Order: sequence, then structure tokens, then C-alpha cells
Amino acid sequence: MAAGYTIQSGTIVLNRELTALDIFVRDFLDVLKKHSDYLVVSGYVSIATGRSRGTEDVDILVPQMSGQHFAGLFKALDDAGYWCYQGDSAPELLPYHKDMLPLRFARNGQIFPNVELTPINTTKELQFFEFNHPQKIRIDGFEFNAPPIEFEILYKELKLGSEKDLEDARHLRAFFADCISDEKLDKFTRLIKENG
Amino acid sequence: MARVLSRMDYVELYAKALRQDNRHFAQQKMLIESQMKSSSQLFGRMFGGPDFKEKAREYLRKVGLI
Repeated sequence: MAAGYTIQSGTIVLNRELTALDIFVRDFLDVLKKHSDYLVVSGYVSIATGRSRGTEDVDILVPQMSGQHFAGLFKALDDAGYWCYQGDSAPELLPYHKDMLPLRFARNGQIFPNVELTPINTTKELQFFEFNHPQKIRIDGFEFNAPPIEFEILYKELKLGSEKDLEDARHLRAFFADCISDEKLDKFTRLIKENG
Repeated sequence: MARVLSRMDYVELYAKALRQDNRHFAQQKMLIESQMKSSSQLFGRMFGGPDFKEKAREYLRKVGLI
């Protein structure tokens, strides 16, 4: 018997095998990382850390990109076998990105799971903060950036607040009870309330 | 009389068990992969074929996802 996770040099290492959902996220990030920084947020963070529920979308934040940069990312995703719900070409999709609207991508021939790719910039204070304070999580060799766990808990409790979000927050509080920092909880509570 | 556990109580109980014993991840993996397989089969049957995107987008518009 082993613990569910360990912390190694600040990285949360989950002691489990990859699931098909992890592999979907890993493969998408392999393409995305060549073109942009990113942060995986919300439901997948809870599920990756053991929350036992299904999901249809994986939320990923990316900095808002120039048209040329966005076109490069779109081509790479298209070449790697992903399609976008909202359209089939970069010029068609760029206005969504410029207007800070999310775009959804899935594997060709599939609808779910999908990645909801949401642009952020400095006007989105909370997203910008979590983006700049990533927590690394590793599962069987697959490493990704997530928000600080304390931030993720509070965002779900104070900002989102649906039944599903409150359950996710409770899961994170119980699973990470050994390493949650009260100091960070206080700091992030103030931050979220000030920017609410 | 014993208190009836709520859904939230179960979430917490399961998280605590998982923190101490990683063998519980096996159940979670089965649940996630079963959902993904069912979803893939269902939508494959609904929209499979050369006009997949067209049919899928029509469905996604109906359910408000685009």
C-alpha cells in the first residue's frame, strides 16, 4: 500500500497509472506547449487528483496570442488530429480568441472529451494570478501545470459555487489535508474577494 | 441512531481513503474510462461518417455548446 501522492521538490506526484483522460490531456499539451504557456484548471485538476466523477471538458488557460501565433497553434492542432467545434480555419476562429472567448477542441471524429481553451490577459486578474503561480503535478511521467491547490479550492468555493464545484473543493481539501497551507488559504481568500 | 451519510460525506471519505491508499485509484480509472468509452461509442453512432463535423455542430448548437 502506498499513499495517494507524495511531494517531490515542490511537485505533487500522484501515485497512480495514467487514465485514458490523462493521455488525452497529455497529447493535447504536447502540441500546445510548443506554441504557448498554459495552465490546466478546474475539473481536470480534481479528477487527476482522484475525484471520482466523469467530465466532458478539460479547461486550459492560455495567454492571448497574436494572429500569427494563433494561426501557428491552430495549424499544429489540425495537423495533430484535432478539430475545433467553432470552425475549421484560423481566420474564422481568431475573432473568438481576440474577444477572449473559449474555443473547444476534440480529437477528429470525437466530441468528448474536449479541451476548452480560454485566453487570458492582465484584465483577468484572478486567472492571471493563478497562471503566474503554477503548481506542477506529475502522474507516471506526465507533468502539467495547475493552479496552487489552495487557490483551486477557494476559486471553486467562493467564485464558482455549484454543487459539483463544492464537491471538488471538498475532495481537494480532504485529499491534500497534509499539505494545504493556512497562510496561502488566507492570502488567496483575500485576493479572490478583492477581485470578486 | 447513526447519521445518514450525505453525498458530500462520501466525497470526503473517498478522498481520505485515497490519500492513504493509492489502490483506490484503480476504481476511479475504471469509472473514467468506462464513461469515455460509452461517450465515444454513442457519438460515433450518432455522427459517424464523412459529414461528422456538420452533424456534430448541429448537435452542439442544439445543446448550447457553440
